[in-house]
Amino acid sequence: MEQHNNKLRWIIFALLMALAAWKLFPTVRLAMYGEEKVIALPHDKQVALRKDAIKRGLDLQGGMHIVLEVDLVELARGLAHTPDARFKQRMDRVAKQVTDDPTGQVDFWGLFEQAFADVQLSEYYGERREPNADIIDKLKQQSADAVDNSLVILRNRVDGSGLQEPSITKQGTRRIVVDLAGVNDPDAARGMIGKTALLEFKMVEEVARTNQVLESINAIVKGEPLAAVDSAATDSTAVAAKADTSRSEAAATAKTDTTAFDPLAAKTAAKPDSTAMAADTSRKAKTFFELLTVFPGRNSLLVAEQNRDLVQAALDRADVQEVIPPDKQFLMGKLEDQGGQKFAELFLVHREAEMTGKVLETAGVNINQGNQGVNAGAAVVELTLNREGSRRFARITGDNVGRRLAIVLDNKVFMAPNIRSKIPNGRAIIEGLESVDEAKELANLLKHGALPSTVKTVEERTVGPSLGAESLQQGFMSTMVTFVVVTVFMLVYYQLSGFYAIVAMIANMILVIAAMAGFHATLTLPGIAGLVLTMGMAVDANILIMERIREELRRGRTVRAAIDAGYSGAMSAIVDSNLTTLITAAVLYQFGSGPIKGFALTLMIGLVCNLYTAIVLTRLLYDRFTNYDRATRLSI
Amino acid sequence: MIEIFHNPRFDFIGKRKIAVTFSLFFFFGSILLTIFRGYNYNIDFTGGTELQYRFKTAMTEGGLREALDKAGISAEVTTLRGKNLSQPDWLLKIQGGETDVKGKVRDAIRAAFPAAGDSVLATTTIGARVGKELKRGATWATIWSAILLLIYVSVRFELMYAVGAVVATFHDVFFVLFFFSLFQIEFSLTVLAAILTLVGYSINDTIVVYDRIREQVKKQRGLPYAQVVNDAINQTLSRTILTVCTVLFAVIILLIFGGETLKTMGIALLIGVITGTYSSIFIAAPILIEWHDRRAAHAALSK
Repeated sequence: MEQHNNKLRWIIFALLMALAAWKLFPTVRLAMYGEEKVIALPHDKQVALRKDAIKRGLDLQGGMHIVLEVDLVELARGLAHTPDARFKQRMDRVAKQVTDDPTGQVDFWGLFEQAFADVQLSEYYGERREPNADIIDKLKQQSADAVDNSLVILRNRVDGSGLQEPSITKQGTRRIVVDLAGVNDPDAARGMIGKTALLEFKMVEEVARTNQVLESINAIVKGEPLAAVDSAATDSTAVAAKADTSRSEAAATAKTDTTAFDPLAAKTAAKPDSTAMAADTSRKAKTFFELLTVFPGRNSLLVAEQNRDLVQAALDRADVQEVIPPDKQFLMGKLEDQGGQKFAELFLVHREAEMTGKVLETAGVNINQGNQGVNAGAAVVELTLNREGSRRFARITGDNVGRRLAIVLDNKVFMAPNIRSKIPNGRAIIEGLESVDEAKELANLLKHGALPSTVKTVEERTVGPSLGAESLQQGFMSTMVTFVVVTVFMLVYYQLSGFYAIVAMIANMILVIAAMAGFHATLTLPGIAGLVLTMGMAVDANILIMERIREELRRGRTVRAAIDAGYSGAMSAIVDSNLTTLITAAVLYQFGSGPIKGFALTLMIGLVCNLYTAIVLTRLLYDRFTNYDRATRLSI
Repeated sequence: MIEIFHNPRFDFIGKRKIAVTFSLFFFFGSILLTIFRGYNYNIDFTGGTELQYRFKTAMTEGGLREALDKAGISAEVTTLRGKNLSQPDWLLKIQGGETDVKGKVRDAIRAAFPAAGDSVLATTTIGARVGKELKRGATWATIWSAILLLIYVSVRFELMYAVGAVVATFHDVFFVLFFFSLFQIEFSLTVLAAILTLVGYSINDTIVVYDRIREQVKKQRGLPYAQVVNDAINQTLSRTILTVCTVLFAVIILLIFGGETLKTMGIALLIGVITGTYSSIFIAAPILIEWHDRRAAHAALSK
């Protein structure tokens, strides 16, 4: 092998190792720091570190994995408006077919259509004389809605529950997978996932009144305990500015507030654009006001993501609770992006709901027609209320023109549109939505309100943190012991050449683990088993090469010729055997679920890295440390 | 240098009739066992609830059973050997899809043993349909790997190699299934992963032997085919033994240190690695000879 080519190979190897080290750095740091130190880090650094480090699967760190699925039989039963004996009998038959099906891959809609082939489905669903096919399409849509709606509700609940990296994803068309790492109380988490959603409409308190309450809270909190509560999040951003009141219908009431906001406004005269915000980072937040953020041009109170827990803690204090009027309560909104940072709005609302989601008849998405300038073409949500709701809504809107009505889901403000005028006919339009998707999300939520009862848990796994730690330790132990045993074996049998193979194996391990960090793959217990097995199999390629070299040496070839022949002779066996194994690992990855996928991925990455380290790296080592012209013996 | 064999000359091919008879016994045995005995599927496949309990005080199996019976819960109670623990952990398996069974079990245990200091280490609840899908997924995964392997090996080698490799590989799967059914070892999702991994390992081993056969067939044109094959097996024998050793180290270490979760996986791998090596020599290679001889006879006839 030519010398200059080898130089290039060494450079590539060095670069690969440097890349691996860079990818592994967060994982190592996280492991060295220990949990307490990590929690003490600033919020954004903590998030970044956790994101870039190898994620431990639920089986290794403890947590909860839940799969929810729409029960189509229940859905079809529940939506029928006049289920008679015939309907019930046929549905029972379909239900039995679904449960008895051995493959688990039954086509419910096909069975449903068959069962009612001779019946007008419009007797039970939809409009009169509507064709069966249309009705089934609509039912399918309902099923999709139920999934989407559950997603919104679950995200809303899990966000802000204090859990690290909750993951809620849709799987296929009918399933939702919820992964909650580090859950200590599965019962509470289960309750959080499974409870029926509560949708309420609550009046937002006038800005002036809100500010009075905030002032008295600030007076209590000022200069004391908050700093102690605060030790965790040291970079709380405190920004305040004059509330610009030249906007919208609320202007009239808001005008008076500027004075009330003065304590805030005086704090920072600087324009709080996003750069100023980043610069104005006071290391210790002392007063309550410093935890709040006000943007110019908006009369809303915002709480930065990292301050949410502090604000909630301050609001929950007994002495603070006393100054909040008993018929009012503070609620927070969804997290939203504002100039690159996430904020939640803080609302003071009436404790008693004006009405609940029950009065809604329908909610749909529409695109704003007409020539209203900015609003034309924007998505809106149209609501239709039932008779009782219409009456109540007319009264509420009539009495509160210019104020904001909060749409509250599970005690979290979903949004708070302004009331523009009295709405007498039970038809309302919600404007100011950012996209059609947001409009759909809201309409869906309003329509179904609760976590649909047809969405059921089909799989649930919880692993306690202690068991997770035990598994991690067992996995670590297995890896270490395998490493030692294989190393000793190779050194005894192949001596110096065995040492090269071990160097290649170590490089392989480093690359595999780095690749997992790079791909944000999750390390599971079966994944560790995959690593252990990879170690055992990684030396196979080198065993093939070395046995070849030995054969050639026995035939009396020189050291150089034997090494050359050894590598070229073993090449086809190594490539073919690794590729066939790779094929099976890829199939396993494709069909597997959850932990199995992690295992297959580890195996695949290991095989690919192994081709490189076993063939290229060991050859480099031979070339570098064997003096071909003088050597008459090879340590093998 | 240390050598396991110096220039080995074992007659593997001569023993192929015995080997094939032996393997056929396991193959049919495995099918019969699957039909008449079945597998001890865990809840990944059957659906149901599994709870892992740990108690601070001593607990007896009878006591625990009685407490659950009294509450009308029919559960299968087993112990798990806990590491560094004076008390074993307890595994309760409850069939069926009752959702609130976890609470019932907890209440029953607390009522019967108020001072036992119970804690739940892990719970798993699986709906019955999920398990059906899993079986279906596994079947497809097996079929697809067989198809893809057939294609790859046919392209790189020849059709007869492809058939031999796939037959040898599935031979190993049947072996593992035989033991899992016979001894009713718990069949879980990780065991399934282990079996599919074995497919990868077994084909790997077979390919190495085949590679040498392919090479030798080109070089030694004068010799009888069976002898060429036998030589090739002997030439790769030390590699075969060495690799099996390193992989077996890894598997045995998993069995010893990997804990309960990886135990059944380790058992499947242990059986599979051994038969994987055996089948490369005694199944995959003889198929080549058989195929080659028949083709030669056919060619001679048609001349």
